[in-house]
Amino acid sequence: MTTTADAFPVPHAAERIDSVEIGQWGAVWRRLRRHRFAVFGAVVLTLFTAIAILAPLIAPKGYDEQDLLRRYLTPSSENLLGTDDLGRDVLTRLLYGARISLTVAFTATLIATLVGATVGAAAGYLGGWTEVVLMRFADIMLSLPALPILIILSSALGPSLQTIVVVLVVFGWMTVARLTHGSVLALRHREFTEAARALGGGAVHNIIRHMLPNALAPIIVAATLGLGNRVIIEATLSFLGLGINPPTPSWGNMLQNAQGYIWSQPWLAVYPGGCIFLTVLAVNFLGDGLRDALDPRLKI
Amino acid sequence: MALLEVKDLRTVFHTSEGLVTAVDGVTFSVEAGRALGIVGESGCGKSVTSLSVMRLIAQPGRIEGGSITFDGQDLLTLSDDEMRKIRGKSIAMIFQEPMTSLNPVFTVGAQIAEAVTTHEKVDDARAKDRAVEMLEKVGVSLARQRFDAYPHEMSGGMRQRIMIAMALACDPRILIADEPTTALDVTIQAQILELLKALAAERHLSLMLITHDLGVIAEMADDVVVMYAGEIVESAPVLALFEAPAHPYTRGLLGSIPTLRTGKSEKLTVIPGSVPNPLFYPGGCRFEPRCPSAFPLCRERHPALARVPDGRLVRCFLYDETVRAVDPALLPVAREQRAAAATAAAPATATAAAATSST
Amino acid sequence: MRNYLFRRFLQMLVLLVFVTGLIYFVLNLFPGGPFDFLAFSSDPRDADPKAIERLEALLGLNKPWYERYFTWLLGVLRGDFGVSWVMAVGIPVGDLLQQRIGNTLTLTLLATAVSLVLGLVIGIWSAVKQYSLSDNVATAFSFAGQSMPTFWLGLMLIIVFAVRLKWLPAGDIYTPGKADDLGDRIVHLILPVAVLSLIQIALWSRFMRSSMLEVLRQDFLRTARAKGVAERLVLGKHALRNALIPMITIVGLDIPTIFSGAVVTESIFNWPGMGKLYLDSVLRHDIPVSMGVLAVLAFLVIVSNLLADVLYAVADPRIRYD
Repeated sequence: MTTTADAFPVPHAAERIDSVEIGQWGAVWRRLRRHRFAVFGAVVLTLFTAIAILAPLIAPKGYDEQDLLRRYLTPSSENLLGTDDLGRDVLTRLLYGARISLTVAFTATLIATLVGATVGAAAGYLGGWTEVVLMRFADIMLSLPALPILIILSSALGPSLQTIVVVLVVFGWMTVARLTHGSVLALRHREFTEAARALGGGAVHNIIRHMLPNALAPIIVAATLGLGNRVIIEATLSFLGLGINPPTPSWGNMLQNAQGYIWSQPWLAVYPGGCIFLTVLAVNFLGDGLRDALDPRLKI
Repeated sequence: MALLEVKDLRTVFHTSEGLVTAVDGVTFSVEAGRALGIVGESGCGKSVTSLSVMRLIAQPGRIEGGSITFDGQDLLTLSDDEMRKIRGKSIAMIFQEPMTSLNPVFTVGAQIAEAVTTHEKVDDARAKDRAVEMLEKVGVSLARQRFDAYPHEMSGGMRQRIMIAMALACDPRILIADEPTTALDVTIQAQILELLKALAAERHLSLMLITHDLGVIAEMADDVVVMYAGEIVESAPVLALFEAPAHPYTRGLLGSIPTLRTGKSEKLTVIPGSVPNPLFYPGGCRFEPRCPSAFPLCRERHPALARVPDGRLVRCFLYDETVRAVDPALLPVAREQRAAAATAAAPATATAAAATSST
Repeated sequence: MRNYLFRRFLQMLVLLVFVTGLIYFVLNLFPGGPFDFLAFSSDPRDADPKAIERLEALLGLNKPWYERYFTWLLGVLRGDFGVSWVMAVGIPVGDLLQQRIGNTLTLTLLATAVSLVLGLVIGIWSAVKQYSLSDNVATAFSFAGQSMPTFWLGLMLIIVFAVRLKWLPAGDIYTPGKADDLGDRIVHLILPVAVLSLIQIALWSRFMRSSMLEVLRQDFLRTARAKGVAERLVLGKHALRNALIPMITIVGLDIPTIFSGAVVTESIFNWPGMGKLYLDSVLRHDIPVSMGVLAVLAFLVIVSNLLADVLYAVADPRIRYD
């Protein structure tokens, strides 16, 4: 079969990975390293994560330290990024904001991925009515516009960290569920499942040892990209006043605060949004690189 | 002057792994009203050759040398626009995969009509009539209704007929068919080949048939060109090729086809080894590593395509009279005759003679 | 096909009833009602629990939530969305919706159109000129667009164009006193539409690019070229027609998302639309208004899903629903 795209004889078959075996992680790692943007993304993400973890240690001041005599200051040696409307150090609040925003995003991603993988694996493995109901439910949730419902749910549950994590999970498990379901479905029919069953492993054992590693690749990509999404959603909800509320700093509510001062102190809006942007950009680069590294055929 | 004369065609691909010379100095011609078969394994460059004639080679490929003279004009010197006017109108092409070669969102009739309107100033109604005519010509029943059918509603054989209808809609002088029946069922293959033969005869159409299937060659071609590793290794009229293949590769190909006369315990000829990597063609004869008749010279020098006494062209030192070192006894034809003679004489001596005659 | 559509319609209806019901239930979990303000009244008799109970009975608020939900649902089907509790006490929700829907529709439809045109053009260009400089720029833009929170983008644009450069207004739907000036209205539309559409463009151009790339590899394009079809037709007719098909589904399903995204945009630009209405109603616990907006949104979801299905079947002859 010839097409103009491959009208010449390719000497070597292109590297084909049908499934990622545990031993091939080395090759994946190498490919990932070559992807400059992904590396940039990973570095930036690690940086922000480090900041988030170390915030209490490296922040110059307390995030709630108000100094009403020193409000709206431009950057100085004392306050590297200036102060806000209550005299609080902007840099400190940004660092703690990283802590809050990333904690929420990571936690929600972890839980949503676990929930999604469980649901998808169960649906794929058990089949029958379970599969139909679960997957239908996932489809329904996916077709709903998320923001309005997120707004109303967070409002009902009250503004807090837990609320955000919960709503993010409620709207975040579906993609991973569908991916896992697809993988498990594909693998269910392969011979080694029969072999594993013959060897006596129970259903759960089967799934964990044999199916999940193969389903892992797209899940990792989805989880990474989902992380970025969740940072944005948390920021949006906090911005609207439905998420993390002051005085706890989150990048989102810092922006809400800054909204009132765009005429006088516009820089207050630049920093928190810039942090969100950089973080999500890094995550997206990383996710894209992972997707390429895990399946070079999928290069878009 | 032949209708189509390809001289010394060179088509290369600048890949990330290096330069691939897919077509390396290929020369052949297609006479008016006759059928040329180009045969060879996958990767030998036959498809690229046909695409080069149509100038359908896209990056990273480039036609870098030679000439393609059609009706007195060198196609390689034409502008894109001028070449476009020739494609589909004077030279047409059909491809291997009828399943994917038709646009799924347009009706088959519309696609045939498009072939007409691209080259001629006719209104839609007239184009539709021509399309229906062509559908009937290629054996599609209920042509007027089938005009509005979509490709996915048709079988592989039907789609190939549509492709033929599209190709012949503007009455071209040459039809290039790249593995037209490879993807079809055997019975349908026969039908399509019959159709092609009939249409070619009826329209004094020249055929350039690319295939790896010697059976198709035997059925359809008047002249044959055998390609290997980007080069032509043998060029002969079809009968001569089948009766007495000269080049060791051709002999291997023919020997690998089971016939009704092949005995049950007779082994088919297997050509050992595989096609050379086009990034690293050997300096000498490209078939040498796999050739049963090879001798040291074959590895050192690259044989040229030369004319042998019976008029055909062969690229092999075995037939090169300037190479005095060749032992006539090595010539495959001569060898067989001796073997046959020896068998008639004494079986034991024959086996011994066969053993000593191989290098 | 009609059967299929009818079935789909029913499915969606059922699911949306289910979802709105669930939301209604959740909303009623927390305290708050139309008579909360009475607790702040200076007259102690207003806060009398018995009186409040009687008032609530009048409004049917003492009934269990599912009964109230069905009453509401039946009302919606008749076009009666109830009455606002908090924001505009006593005013029918339907009136509030009517006032606002025009503004949101203007914003949303304009943003969709802009996103569609630019998204498709950029996507096609990127695909045809794959790996070129413009493709890389477009890809970078697409990444940036998907990584940016809309409200930050909005704020940044306001800062640049309204605060610093003073070229464009920072919000509102028209300048006071110029309500009938079309030019003024258009100028006020620029930033909100830009914000609402920028991110859609980033997404859609990416999809269009990959869809186009997929099509560009197809054999039937080679056939078209072999027929002598001009390259611009090979791309513009043969390729495009195929590449647009998946976009139909994507665009169709994204329309409710654009509509929802207006919530944030309207809040930044002080745009008096349904998004802002919704946000305010949620923050102020005005359940009837919230439910009213959700009902409209649900309707939109159904319509756009069905529309996407229909258009998809029309565009792709291989799809035939039974």
